[in-house]
Amino acid sequence: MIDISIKNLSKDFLLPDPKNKEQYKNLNVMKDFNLNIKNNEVVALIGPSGIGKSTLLNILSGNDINYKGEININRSIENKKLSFIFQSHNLLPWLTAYENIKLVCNTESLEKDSASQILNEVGLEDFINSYPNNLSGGMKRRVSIARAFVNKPNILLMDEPFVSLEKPLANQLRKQTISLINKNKVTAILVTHDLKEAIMFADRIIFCNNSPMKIYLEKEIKLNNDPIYDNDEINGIYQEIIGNDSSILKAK
Amino acid sequence: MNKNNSLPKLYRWASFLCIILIWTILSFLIEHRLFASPLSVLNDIWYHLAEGELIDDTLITLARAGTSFAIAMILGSIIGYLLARIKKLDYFFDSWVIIGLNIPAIVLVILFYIWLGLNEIALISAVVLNKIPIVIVNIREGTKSMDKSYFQIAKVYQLNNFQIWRKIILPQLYPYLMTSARTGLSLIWKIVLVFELLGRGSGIGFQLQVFFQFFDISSLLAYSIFFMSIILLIENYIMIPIEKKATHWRKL
Repeated sequence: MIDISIKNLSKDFLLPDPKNKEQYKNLNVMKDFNLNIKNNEVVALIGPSGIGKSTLLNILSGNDINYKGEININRSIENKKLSFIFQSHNLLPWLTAYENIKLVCNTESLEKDSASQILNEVGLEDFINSYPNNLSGGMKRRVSIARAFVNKPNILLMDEPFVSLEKPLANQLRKQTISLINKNKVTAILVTHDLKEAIMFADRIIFCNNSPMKIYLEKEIKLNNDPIYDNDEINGIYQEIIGNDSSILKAK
Repeated sequence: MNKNNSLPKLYRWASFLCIILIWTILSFLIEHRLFASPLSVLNDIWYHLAEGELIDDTLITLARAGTSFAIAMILGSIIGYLLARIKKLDYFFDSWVIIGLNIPAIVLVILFYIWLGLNEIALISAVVLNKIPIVIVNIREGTKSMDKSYFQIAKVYQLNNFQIWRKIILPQLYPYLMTSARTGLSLIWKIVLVFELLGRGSGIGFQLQVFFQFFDISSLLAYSIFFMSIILLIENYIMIPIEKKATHWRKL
């Protein structure tokens, strides 16, 4: 069953013309872009910076409404719940970890005190009353992951959620996020530049090129073992993808 | 008692006592009726308090300053916010704000006393018009510098308007509101005294004019010091605690 359907999506940006600062020129980021994502499928989007991957997530999340085309999110899902793990943690600094999560809770989550439960689940039970200023980078990221899952979302958007983190911490958070994705059975889109990360998360990897953004390769991924960054299976698939088509390196 | 906490207080008291000491020594050396000693000023404060007029005049001036302050803060905040959010309004009214910032306070009060008569409305209108442009500029800049990424959270998690104002907009505007309030308080009470001196028959400013006519320096200082003490109390026991409460997360 199709969960997210994107048909003929087009998006333009007005940018200052480098030759004449008084004038603006139109940048066509997406033109007739099409993508279907199945129920409970995790799709990773890989492509060079600035081609419109984050713009696509902003459109899907409702943060960008200036586009042409059709976005359909399966209405059979009752009370569609969408979540977003942003590139930066985006925690409100004047609220504690608990308050940051409670703010986004729906009525059902408030009744069950899901905010405390999810903070326990990500190992932050001792920091629920801490302000973001007092948390380490990894802890802030964990709070933002907890926030994304507190309402048991149906759809999860992730915009390079583990970028600029140290490798061991990034691996720990990837593992935690994959476990939450599996537990909640969400349909997810991950935007990343890291092919190994994409292999860990995704059922399908979509490689995109720029100006305007278009899909030039899709690869189904099936892992037999637990997804662990840099393990033999992930490295094997990585080599297989790179070996098949060296142009994919451009999308790394 | 914590040594580090008590040290600044100790220095403040030492500095205050130093001023009193220098003043006392100078009054002994000069020994002139136009240079009142601290003791005679203290006696006059007590005398005017016992007579009741000092309390009455203080309350009248505080009521005028408080009313003007409240009106200027409310109107200035609303206008400042709207100018930041609606560009066309900002372009149109920007020059008005600049003119408002540069009109001398004395010109405004003379005009209002002539147009509206020597009454409360004229005084309060003149004070409000003096203060409003400063509030507008502060709140306009505060609104413009709000972090847009926090509004992405509001959109994704479908926060209602009340939540957006209470948890996202106001916490970001508190520092600007507090700066406006504190600078406003110090500006408004000084302007109110001058305006009372020019055209009212009651209040601290009016009494200062009477003492000036009789060259009663001791009473003049008694009224001034008493009123300044009240303003310092408001600053220390109302404004600073509110500011600390609103921005406590920054110091953690």
